[in-house]
Amino acid sequence: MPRAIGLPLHHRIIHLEPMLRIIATRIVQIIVTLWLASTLVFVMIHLSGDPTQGFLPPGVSPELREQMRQKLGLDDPMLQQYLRFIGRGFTGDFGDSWRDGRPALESVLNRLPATLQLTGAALLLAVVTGFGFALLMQRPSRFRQVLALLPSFGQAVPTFWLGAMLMMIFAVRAGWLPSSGNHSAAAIILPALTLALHPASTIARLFATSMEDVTHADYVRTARSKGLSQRAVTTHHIAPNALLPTVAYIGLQAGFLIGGAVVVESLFAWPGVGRLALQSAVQRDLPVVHAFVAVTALGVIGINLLVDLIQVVIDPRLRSHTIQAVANG
Amino acid sequence: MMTLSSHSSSPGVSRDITQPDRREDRRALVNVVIPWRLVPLVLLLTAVSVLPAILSSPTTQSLADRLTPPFGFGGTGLGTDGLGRDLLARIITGTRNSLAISIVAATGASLLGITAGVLAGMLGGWADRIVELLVESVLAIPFITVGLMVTATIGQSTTSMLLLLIGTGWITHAQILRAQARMVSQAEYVIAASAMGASKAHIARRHLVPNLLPISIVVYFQQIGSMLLWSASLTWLGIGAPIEQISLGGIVRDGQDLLYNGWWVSLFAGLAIIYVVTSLNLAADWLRIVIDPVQKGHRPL
Amino acid sequence: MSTRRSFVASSLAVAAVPLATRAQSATPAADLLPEIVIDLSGEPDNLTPALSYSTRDWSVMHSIYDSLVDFAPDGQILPQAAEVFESDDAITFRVRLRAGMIFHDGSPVTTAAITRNVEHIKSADSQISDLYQVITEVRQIDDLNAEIVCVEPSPWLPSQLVVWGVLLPEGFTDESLASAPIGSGPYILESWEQGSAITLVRNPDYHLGSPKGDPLAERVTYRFVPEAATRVADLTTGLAHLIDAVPKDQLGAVADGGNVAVSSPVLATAFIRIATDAAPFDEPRVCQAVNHAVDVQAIADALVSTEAKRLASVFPDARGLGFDASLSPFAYDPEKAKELLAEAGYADGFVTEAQITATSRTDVLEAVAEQLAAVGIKVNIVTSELATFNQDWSNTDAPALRYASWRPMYDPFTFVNLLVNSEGYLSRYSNPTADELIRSAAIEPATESRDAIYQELGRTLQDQPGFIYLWNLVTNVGVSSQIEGWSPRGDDYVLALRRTQ
Repeated sequence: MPRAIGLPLHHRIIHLEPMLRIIATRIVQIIVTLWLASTLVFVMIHLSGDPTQGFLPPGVSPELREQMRQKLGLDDPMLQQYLRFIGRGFTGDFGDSWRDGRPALESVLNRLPATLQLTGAALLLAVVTGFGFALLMQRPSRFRQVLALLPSFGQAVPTFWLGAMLMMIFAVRAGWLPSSGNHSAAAIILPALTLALHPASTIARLFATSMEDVTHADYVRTARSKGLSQRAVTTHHIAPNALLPTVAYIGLQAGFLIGGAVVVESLFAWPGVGRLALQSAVQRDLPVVHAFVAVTALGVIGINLLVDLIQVVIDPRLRSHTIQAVANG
Repeated sequence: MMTLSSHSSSPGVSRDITQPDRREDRRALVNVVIPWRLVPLVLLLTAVSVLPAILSSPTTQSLADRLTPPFGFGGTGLGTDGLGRDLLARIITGTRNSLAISIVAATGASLLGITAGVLAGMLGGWADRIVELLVESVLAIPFITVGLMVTATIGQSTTSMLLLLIGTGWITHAQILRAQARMVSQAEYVIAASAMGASKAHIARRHLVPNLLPISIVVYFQQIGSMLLWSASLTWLGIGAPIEQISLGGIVRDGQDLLYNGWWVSLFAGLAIIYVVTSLNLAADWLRIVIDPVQKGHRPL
Repeated sequence: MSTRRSFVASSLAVAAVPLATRAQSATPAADLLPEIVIDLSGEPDNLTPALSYSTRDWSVMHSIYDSLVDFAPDGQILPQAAEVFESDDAITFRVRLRAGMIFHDGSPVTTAAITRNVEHIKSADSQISDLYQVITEVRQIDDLNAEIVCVEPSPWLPSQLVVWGVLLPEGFTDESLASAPIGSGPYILESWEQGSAITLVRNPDYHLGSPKGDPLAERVTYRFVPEAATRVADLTTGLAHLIDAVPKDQLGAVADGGNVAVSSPVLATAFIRIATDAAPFDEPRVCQAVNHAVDVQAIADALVSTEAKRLASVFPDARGLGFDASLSPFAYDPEKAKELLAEAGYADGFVTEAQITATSRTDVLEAVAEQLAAVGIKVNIVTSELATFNQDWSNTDAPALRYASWRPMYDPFTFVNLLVNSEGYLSRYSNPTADELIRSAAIEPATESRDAIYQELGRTLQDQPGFIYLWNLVTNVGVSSQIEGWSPRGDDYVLALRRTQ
């Protein structure tokens, strides 16, 4: 049976195209994603019933509710509301929060830094420990078989449970770290640890696997057969190529991390944007939900663009490798 | 990844690249590796199919017996929860329900994702662009917020959770299969077949499916575990399974307010999640080695 | 109801004399703490007085603002920013403000502040603006004396003024109300970090000895911590000094951490609302049967608090109107329940649904469902998120049963008008006798008589139940051992104030 070897991630094929092409693709993606996300938010909030039920208390008179609906344009024809809504998404004017009257975008941007801090710290921790662990596993050790199981195990631990346990141990019993909030530098340690375990385990597995793959790829064999030293092969061929799928994974995880951070934010009372989004969705605060989804989507696409470019920088020889891989298939 | 330990344990030694040893190497290792990687999952499946028959009902309450400690702490079994229900029975039933939901979700996600991925990879061009855009859009839209909106729209039910899990889970399959399908369809033998007048359907049947099946099965298995974790997170946040559906995430949630008087509720349910997901991951590792002895590349994690 | 006098009498007897003399000594108590941190389970949505609807809103709002009147611990209405607050007919309320009060911006508090409050509330898109429409005029007699004039007797108005009748400064805007409020209350807003904390500093000009209490600390930080276990951890580790909403099963952890767990009944009622407009609950015997079928006290003791007592109707305790100590709650009697069901034609029971929000006490509803199952009523529990739940109050397609609670119940006016009155926006109950009682209580000026009318309503609600009556809610607050003399309020606002009575 013919074999498909080596470098199949679609990112690598994107890299065959010039950087400008990458950027253009991402711009198209921004437009489509914003449109899709806005439509999704619009449809869901309107399908779920009268949005005023979310932010007006239940005892409000039907007349007042009606007045509010008119004020917010909720009685306009759906198409008109939809076009206005989509237009807002693209111009960045999301309007004021229905709940507290503050500009929606400002509320989201106010809360974004805390989430970026948390996810950034978690990602850094995950990258360092993940790569570190994978590299460590390359060395011979008697406990390799057992140690190699750790990432499988780490991937299985639910964040909400881990967070509660870490809080019990390190904040309540030991008293070493603050149990919640973001008012001291040490306060980020427990939430970041909690959030980092899963991506760290995944990076460790992925990187270790990629290293194995690359070690046996034809071009590495070719390099070796040319008489290059093991060190040269590792630094010039194995490591950069093994890095690629992992870097791609990190880019893909950015959106999930921000979404998944909401559990950790709730548990540790971390004032991030995830909690705001959850609360706003509960209260059907359409402008804030819209602003949140748009900002996050833009952020994730931005990160992915960055990842694309990084990948090209890491390995400009991708083109030849891919061709080689295909030719060998 | 640990299957290749014999290669990399001696990084200083350059291997003889002409020796076609990898297949034999793997096979030898597979034989060693098969039993223990599957043991946790087999034990788990046995437990969830046998134990419910002999355990007490997971729903029978007894306020007088609430928060009875587990065996070894003055009580029996794994103790009881805040409504006096038997925790072991609840964890077993919860495991079964959570597994069932995850399997359904993973199945739905694979069917959707494989279809999208294969279409994109085979047809290329516009189909490929559209699938790529969809995949990246879903990746860019935050999952939890969407989850809440789905719940608000169609109510808190197993259906809404499944919709959400499938709606976000299919992209994993689509991404991988898209790249794989494209590689296969660009391979020389396929191009040759195509040049000789083979139809697209024929190529798909003869060349694509045999090539893509192994990777799909591995991804599928691995996704069951992550579906279980996601559904547990949603339930923990109060937007997942309805309360009458016993689930592992729900038991941890119940135990969150009992950490002082009934630490065992949250602790054991959390350990159960870890056990279930680890055993699924190990089984997926095993499958990858067995099904996919030569094809390298994607290690969906 | 010997403990309750009319607010007219109490205002003269208690407020005018002793408070006035204490207010002159503006030196803070010696044991003023430098800083306390309060963990609330949620962040205020809004500090705009007209748009505040929850305890978390009110905890911060009433730290910053003063109301004309406040509830005393025994439920009486006492003057607060007012020195005198009285009325003979519940149409004209005479107010005399304390002399010398100033707002946080230094401007004097005059009767114009009352006018501004009324205008603000009446013009807002708020639940309370409907009720405020009874006020036709605020007559400013001079800087300190005014009359609030209503179109008809409105004996329920003072209890609304406790919550919403806050004094507003000149020149406020919608923006300043929402995020930079200036009041005349015990604390001054220093900062509001969205999602994280609100910091207040003590108002050095605040009058001491009022019924609301005196400041506990120079600086107060409210933090927003949604998880109960995290709040307890914060208290134990010293990060917080006061935490709200401690679950019953975590009270021991508070005590173990060397702090004090305070449990105290609040003026709030927990219930399962029955939709009596459709079969099978259109038959009163079925509604009585479900009340007999549930061992409410056992559930309360196990899951809520030993301070939670089974209620005979919707009125929680003697601090509020309508409570009748002589009316006994339904007895737990499954056999009787089965008999009643058989008489009503449901000997084999039936299947129904109960709705609850995912964030409230689902375990309580599960326990109730189990006991209803024992008499043949199979209850399927439906969890909704809050907006859907609120949308379904009067929806005839929604589940017949719904678990909820209501606060404050000092004056049951709002509750009975919304949920019991057949015309109520949230009602699926219809009983001409009850409607008539509700109507007459709304315009009866004498407090004693209103109390008697609501007690009569309580008996009516027991004969023809519209609810499974559960218990009075209980607030469980964790208090740091560093704080002395703090006690919870009957309306559950968590204020950094120490009551002096």
